[in-house]
Amino acid sequence: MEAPQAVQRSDRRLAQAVLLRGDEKAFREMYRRHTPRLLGFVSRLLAGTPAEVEDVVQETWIRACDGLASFRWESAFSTWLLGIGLNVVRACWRSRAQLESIKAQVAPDSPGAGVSLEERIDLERCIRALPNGFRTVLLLHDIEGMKHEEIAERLGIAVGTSKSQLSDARRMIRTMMCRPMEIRHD
Amino acid sequence: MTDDELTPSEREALAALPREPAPSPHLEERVVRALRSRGVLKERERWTLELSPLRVAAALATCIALLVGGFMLGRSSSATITMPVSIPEGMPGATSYAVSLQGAGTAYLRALEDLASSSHAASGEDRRQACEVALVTLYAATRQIAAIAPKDYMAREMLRAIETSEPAAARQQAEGSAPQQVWF
Repeated sequence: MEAPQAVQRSDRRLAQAVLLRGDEKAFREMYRRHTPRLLGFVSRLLAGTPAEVEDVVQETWIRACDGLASFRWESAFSTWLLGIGLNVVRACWRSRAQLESIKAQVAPDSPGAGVSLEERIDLERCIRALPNGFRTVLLLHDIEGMKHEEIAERLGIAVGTSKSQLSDARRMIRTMMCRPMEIRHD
Repeated sequence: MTDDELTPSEREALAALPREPAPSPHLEERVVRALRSRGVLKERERWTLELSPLRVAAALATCIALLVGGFMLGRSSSATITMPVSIPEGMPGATSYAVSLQGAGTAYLRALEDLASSSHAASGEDRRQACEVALVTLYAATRQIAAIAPKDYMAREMLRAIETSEPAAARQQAEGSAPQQVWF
């Protein structure tokens, strides 16, 4: 496995090839290196359909390529990419909320989304059932390993808010699962 | 334990979540296409051939030249006398030697057949020379076989029979006149 510094150097070289020459081969290498993690993150965070997730991944890469020239390489490329993915997901939530609002006006007596019994015993589904803000903080902290300071900066919230949201997210998951989380082998 | 802390089993459960699912192959193409359409990625240069009347004429002329050239080459090579036997290069071994010896034997027999069939038209001197060459060749070949396989009964007997029959070449040598054909 390559060392993080070596990966970063390689990412930088590939990014330069994309920027200077529009090198498709270099882009594909970057894409294949970073998309699995981005896809996992977006998929869990968005809690949407596979098509929505792919839309977000595509939009993330487009924005990343647009902003590649301004990236200062002070952080890992993968972290920067996840940050862009996070912003795209949040934009997606906003448009989804607007759509839901329109739907609610059209059909005000439609049933609300509930958490089924099956979802209670599934960690993935519990995470998906969290409110967007809680899910974001939980994923960034507990799955991606970010610090509260970094999360607060990325989300534009206070460090204390990040901590309390994480605490609330964990409490909600415990409630949904009705017991401490266990490893599932299915 | 407080709500702010994860238990070891909770930590393990979170760590066990899959982090890097494999993206579908079409997603990569979709992203690349999107970036190409925005001009971020450049289309790979493809080799294209524009068909102009001049190029078509040149291609036709080349084809005709190749056809005529090939035909002429074929005619000239078929008119050339070639060696009937060629030893395969780069593949030493029993099989290649057997093949080359079989070829040589076939050529030898064919030459003898030609001699037999045209003997009525050939002069006596020509025929005598050809027979002499055939016998010397046979003698040399038998000696080689006997050297290679000294215990082979047939090789030994053939060698003995030829040597006791005093071939024409040996007789001529004994009489002081050198044979007219010396190949071996």
